[in-house]
Amino acid sequence: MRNEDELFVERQLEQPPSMSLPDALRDRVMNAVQSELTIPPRVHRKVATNRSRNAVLVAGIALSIAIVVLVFSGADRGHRNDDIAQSIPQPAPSVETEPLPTVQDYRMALWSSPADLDSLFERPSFVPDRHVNSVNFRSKLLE
Amino acid sequence: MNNQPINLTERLAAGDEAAFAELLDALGPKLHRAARRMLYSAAEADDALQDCFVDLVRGRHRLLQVEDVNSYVFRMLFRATYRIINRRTDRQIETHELSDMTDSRSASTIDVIDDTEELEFAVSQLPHEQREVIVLKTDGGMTFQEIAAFLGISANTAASRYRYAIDKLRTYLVQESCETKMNCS
Repeated sequence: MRNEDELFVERQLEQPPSMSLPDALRDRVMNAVQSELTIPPRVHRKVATNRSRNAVLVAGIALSIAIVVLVFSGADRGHRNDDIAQSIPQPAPSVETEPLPTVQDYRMALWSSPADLDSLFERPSFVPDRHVNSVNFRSKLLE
Repeated sequence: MNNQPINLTERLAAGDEAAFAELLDALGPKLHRAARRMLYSAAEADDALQDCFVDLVRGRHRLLQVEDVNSYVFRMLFRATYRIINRRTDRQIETHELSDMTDSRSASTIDVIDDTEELEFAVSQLPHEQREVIVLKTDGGMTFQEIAAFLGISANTAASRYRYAIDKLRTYLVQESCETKMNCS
């Protein structure tokens, strides 16, 4: 049950406000209303229409860009592995070199003809001791 | 054939300046007091009232679909006050509440409220949701059902917020009265 104080507060709150607005405030509000009314409603609509048109345009452009990106990324996907493979630096094709002479080669050379021995020394990979040449090779080996 | 608008709503929707002047004269004082209670600032209340009417003019074509013009105008006013509150940098006024005023002098009566500004200040210090209900009930002249529809809450919630607000105001004013007269035990 509400007490006397609560009823008093309610009555105070519901006291009617002043009968009219101050003239300055009324004039200010009505000036704003007049200014707003001088703008034809179609201008508001046009602004709204332009805004929505711009929004559609921006959305369309964004969608187009997204589609183009997707299409190109999809088309490119088949070649991507090749591209990746190509992008990885491949080792330069090695110059086909003759295998280094083995002990067996030396043994063969030891018992081969001088021409074979010369061919052994002509191999670019064959770097014998600087005191060894095709002439003294056999004797050096036999030492 | 007479195509002239016949009622205020139609005249407002048609952009009749005199209709807006009539609306301002009829509801302006209540709207202004409601704005002052919401904002506790005369200057901001002026701004809110002007913004409210500018919004009404801009959206006048919607007025033909409005069933309750009074409620619609108060909605415009509340939007204007919310915008002003959101623009505030100093929100201290929003954070003060009367919720801590729970001393037990409820038996005392309010002897003196000769300064209505005291009451307006007390209203401005209520929690926002309670202030809304107080303003809609006392300035908007709405029932709890209408307030419930306005705020999107139940009628019971609206009524309880109102009761809490009244109780806080009573407590605050009793305390102020006691401090003024220095006669409270």
